[in-house]
Amino acid sequence: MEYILSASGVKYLNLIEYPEINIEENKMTFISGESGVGKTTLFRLFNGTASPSEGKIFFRGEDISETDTISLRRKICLVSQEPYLFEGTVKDNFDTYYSYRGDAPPGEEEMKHFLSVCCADFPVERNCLFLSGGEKQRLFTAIFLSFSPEVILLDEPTSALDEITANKMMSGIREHCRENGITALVISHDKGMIGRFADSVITLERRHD
Amino acid sequence: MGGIVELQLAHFLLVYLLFIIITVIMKICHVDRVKLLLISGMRMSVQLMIAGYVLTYIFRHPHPVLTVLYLACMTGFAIHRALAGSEMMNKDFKIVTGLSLSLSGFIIIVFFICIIMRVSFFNPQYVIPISGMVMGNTMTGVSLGVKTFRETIKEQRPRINALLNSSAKPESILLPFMRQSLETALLPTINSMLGMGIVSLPGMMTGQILSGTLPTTAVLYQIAMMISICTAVCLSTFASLHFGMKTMYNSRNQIIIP
Repeated sequence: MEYILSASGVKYLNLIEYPEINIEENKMTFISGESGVGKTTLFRLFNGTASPSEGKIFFRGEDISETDTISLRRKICLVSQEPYLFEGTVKDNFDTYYSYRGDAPPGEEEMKHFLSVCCADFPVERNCLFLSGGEKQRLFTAIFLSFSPEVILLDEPTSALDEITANKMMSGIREHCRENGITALVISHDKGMIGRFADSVITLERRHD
Repeated sequence: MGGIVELQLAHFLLVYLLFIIITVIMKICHVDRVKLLLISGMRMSVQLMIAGYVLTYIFRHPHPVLTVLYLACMTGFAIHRALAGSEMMNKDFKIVTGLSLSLSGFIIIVFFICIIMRVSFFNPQYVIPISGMVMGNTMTGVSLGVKTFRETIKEQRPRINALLNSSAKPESILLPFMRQSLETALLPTINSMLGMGIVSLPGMMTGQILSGTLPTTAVLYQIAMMISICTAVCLSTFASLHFGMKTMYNSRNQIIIP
């Protein structure tokens, strides 16, 4: 069976050692484990913003150390747990992120669609200054989801949300990913959420030499 | 025009009484910098005294080696000061900054001495004070530019990470920070040009007038000097940040901040 993403013998700065990891395509895989085991670092290794000190990572069977990192990040999109929004409206933020990528921004209807997927149904003219922490996180996720990657890496996407909103957002994301053939990887400590949404779970543990 | 009035040592020493005013204000406002003020006042006096004796010797015994040696010391100190507190920058960034500062300063000094004034580059009476003004201002500009760049990058880590993850190129992520830092570095020089002649009579012009030069001649020197300083600040800060920025990411498009 060919996996969309896999990690083999990966170590990071001799601080973190990962087991063999294989990610199935079109599934929602949850990554769990105690703090400091390298969950966020694993995501950074997957999208090439960090490099392993040992071992290899493969995307669709190709060693990512030999691929162009900018095009890799277009295919494997990491939504960090620290959302960053520019000054201005919701629309301005879509426009700015797309302009940095060198792409034409989506139309307003498309923006509204992605906002709705992430349970963030507020007007695109809303000033981001007045958004709550949870709203910012949902908008940030909506922008990254609109890039239409092949793999989306969600680092604690519901950490600033109440349980009801978190479930609605994760339902929306799972449905969108299934419809569009997107593989999702989610870091979460929430066992209830893992039970409800995970197709598979990888639990990372501290490994000692 | 008459020559300059010689300062009597006893009269000159009276100027140090002005430190009392600063000390009193600092004490009243609980600005705990009196020690620093006294040390910098002492250090300035000693450094300038030494410079006075060294320059007197060099002017009496002009030799290209002495002139070049003086300029080298001046440049070395300017680089050292411009990089002070830049632990966050990598070694290559520091090398780039040093090279940018010295090369930009050198080009402008050569232009001023050889093209504008048309005197020998090794004439210490001209090259040393002109270089001092150019390098001093360049040092301040680069220092301000690099400091702003460094602090902005530190503050904007979440923005940098978010943009990297969105597949933006490192150069386009860092470019706005470079522009902002260049603007910050240039503003003091541009502002001082705005007020010059109305609010202030700059040091070079004042010195020339005091020593008997016609104000109309002093003005020409000052205009040429200010434009040269502004260009040196712009050139050196731009080169430091433009080439320095490229040392902050690798071929894997990873931004490396120590």
